[in-house]
Amino acid sequence: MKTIIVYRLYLILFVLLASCNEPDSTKKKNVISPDIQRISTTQVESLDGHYIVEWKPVSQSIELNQYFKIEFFIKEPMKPINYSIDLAVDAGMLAHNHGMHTKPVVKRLGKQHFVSEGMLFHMAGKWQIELEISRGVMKDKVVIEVEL
Amino acid sequence: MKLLLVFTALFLNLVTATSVWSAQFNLQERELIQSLSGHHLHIQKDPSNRASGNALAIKTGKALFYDTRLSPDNLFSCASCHQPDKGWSDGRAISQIQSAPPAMHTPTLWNAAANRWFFWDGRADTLWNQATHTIESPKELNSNRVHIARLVLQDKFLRQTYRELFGAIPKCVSLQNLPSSGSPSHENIKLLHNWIGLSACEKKAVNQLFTSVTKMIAAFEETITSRNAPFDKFAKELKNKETSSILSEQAQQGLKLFLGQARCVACHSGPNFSDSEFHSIFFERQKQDGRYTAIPKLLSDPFNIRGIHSDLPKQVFSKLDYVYRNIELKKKYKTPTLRNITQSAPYMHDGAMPDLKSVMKYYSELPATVDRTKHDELILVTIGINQQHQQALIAFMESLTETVDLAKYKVSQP
Repeated sequence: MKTIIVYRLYLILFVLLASCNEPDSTKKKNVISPDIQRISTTQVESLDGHYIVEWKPVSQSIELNQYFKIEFFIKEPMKPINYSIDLAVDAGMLAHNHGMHTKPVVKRLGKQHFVSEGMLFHMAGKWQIELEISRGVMKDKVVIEVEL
Repeated sequence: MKLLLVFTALFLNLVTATSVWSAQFNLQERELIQSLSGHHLHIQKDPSNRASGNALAIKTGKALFYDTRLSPDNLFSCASCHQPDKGWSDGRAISQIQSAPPAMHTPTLWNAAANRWFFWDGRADTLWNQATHTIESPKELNSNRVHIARLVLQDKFLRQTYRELFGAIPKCVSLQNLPSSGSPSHENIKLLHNWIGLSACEKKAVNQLFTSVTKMIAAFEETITSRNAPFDKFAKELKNKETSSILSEQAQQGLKLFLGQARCVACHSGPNFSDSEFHSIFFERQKQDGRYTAIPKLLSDPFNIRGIHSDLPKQVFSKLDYVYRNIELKKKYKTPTLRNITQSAPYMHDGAMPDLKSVMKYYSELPATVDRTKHDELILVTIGINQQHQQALIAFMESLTETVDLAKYKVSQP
């Protein structure tokens, strides 16, 4: 009797597996999805650990092939910055070996507050936004990954 | 007996799964299908063109589109190459209206206004800017701006329309004082000589009259839209249903490949099936530098969106503000729309592919990608799809063709 029950359980399992004729990719992030990435303010630490960068798109989302702006708030890990820094912004798709087709314009909104205009992600997939924060000759980098 | 029933159920399940797989789309595919649907295609008024969307401008622009008086020899018009019956192209690899032909295939005008950039290399940033190039190019209409200005001054209807849409005709310009031709051309000494002889006021006035004509033509071209193909009806039905039979099973299989294995949607994205940006598909035959060479021309073009003839307020954002010349743009050309693609053969920017079958074969095998040192497009890899799948993709492309009554785009007496 016990053998029959085990045998039936195996069969049910087998039937269930067979009925899954399509892999359930709905749970997996599709790299070519044009879906809108909903992003709230996010914090990232710079590669050398000198700065913490808070960032968020000016509009609610980053949409495929639409110009967008990102705001950046830069501070030291434990305190706000009271000296002058500069910021350069660029982005690219490592997997495709290309960057954006635009040159973003970075505008200073405050001592530690910047906005980068003219960003455009023209293809779906993983984009890397690279920030270069300069204080005189001292430079530190931040890499932010966004998937569309 | 029970065992037999279970195996029968299992067998039936497998058979059913095989026969309907192509009609089933997962959640991500369904989202992608909706993103491609024509109901998302909204042609906005061009803020740099005050004639955009204006009924009188559209009507006049339509007449001008077919008007052979645009060319000094009275032989050619925009419609010589952009023929409605040939998908707004001309059925040729390269247009042959002049002895020195252009380097590239005549692009379709379907949904032209949905583009961000114009020409295959994007050397124009608006439809009306594009027309200024075409009219003056020795390889296309071979005309010049003074000839066009004279046409407006001579024609009573055009004069009235100009006044209504653009204001008074500048007083410093008159038919009596203007030479028969003229343009700041570096390829034609006579045109340049005549142009240099004009006063600053005359030059500005000629440019105003010239751009009024291109703006009206652009207003007409903005009306050439297609967003209701069988695919769009399919997408609409799929919004509320699990499956749809509006497209054949072969076309649906092609759609699945388009979104997945074949990766067409990587560049042919959005409701116009184009990202309106630039890519290299590494054509052996391509000789020009594409977008890379076009950018300096675009930025220095007096008729660009930031020029004095643009109606875009200075404080308003312009895509031109963020353009830059990056070495990686070499050999890159604009992704064409796939809407009504079956009408505009041959294909590719140089018209090298006679039919869709050749295009599918090229992308499937990509002979150039064998040597990776020849290009930097990592996404460009051989997809190796078989002939059956290539046929399915073509069936899907056919579903992007809309039956449109072209009579509304034609004039009875050009």
